[in-house]
Amino acid sequence: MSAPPAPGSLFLEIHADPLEFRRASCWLRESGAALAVPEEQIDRLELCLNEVLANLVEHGGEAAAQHPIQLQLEAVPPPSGCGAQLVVSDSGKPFDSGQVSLKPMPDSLSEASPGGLGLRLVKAFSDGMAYRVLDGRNELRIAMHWTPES
Amino acid sequence: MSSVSLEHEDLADDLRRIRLGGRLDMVGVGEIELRFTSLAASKPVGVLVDLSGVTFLASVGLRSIIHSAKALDMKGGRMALLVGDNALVQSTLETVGIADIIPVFTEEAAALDSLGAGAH
Repeated sequence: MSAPPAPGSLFLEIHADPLEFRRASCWLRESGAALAVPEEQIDRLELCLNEVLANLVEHGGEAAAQHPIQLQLEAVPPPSGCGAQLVVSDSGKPFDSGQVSLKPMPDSLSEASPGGLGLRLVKAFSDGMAYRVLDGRNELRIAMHWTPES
Repeated sequence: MSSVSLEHEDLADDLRRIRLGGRLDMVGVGEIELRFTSLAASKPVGVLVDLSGVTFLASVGLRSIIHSAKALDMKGGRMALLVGDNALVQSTLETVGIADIIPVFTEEAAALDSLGAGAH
């Protein structure tokens, strides 16, 4: 996220701390409303953001904890289309969630595993994800699209 | 932003209702997890977990529910989940497959019936 801010996008910088994630949720809801993102898409984006940040705390390593996490929300207004994109940039261990296979759904309570739930939620609730390493930082883009009527 | 709440009520000797509310994110679950698991899985009874007042359900909250349901199951009890008209929570439960392994209801009466508590 080294490029200058694009018009119609909003930014926040946080630390890898669960209390900061609530601040990020507030920012996302306020920014989404300011950019006219529908409530349903904001709900889904908030869940995705929370899971990505939680994954950073659990698996991002020391580098993730020592450097700020940068968040950017940008929206594509009508009539060009209806969409929003959340960009999460961090200094943690490289991790391309799009390349990870999801575990099969459990058939019984005894088979249920606590691992992989967050990634399953992000993949299910987003309309697209793109990952790259830019200037030594991970950059994950999470996209949402909707029709004007939704 | 709301935090998290936990209330419980023993509806009968073999039936307990636990109401969760607010944000079940890392912070919220950290506040209630030990108490929730203790209430949900301490004895072999039917446990209705009411999630209709949950405003945000992250995977850390799902893990806590699964953990408690498994512990209760091992003791011989059963858990059912009540979501009411909370569409986001219901969608989250269905997305990760929990709705296939722990019964999920929108109506409390049906949830209690499933736990063998139709008379309550």
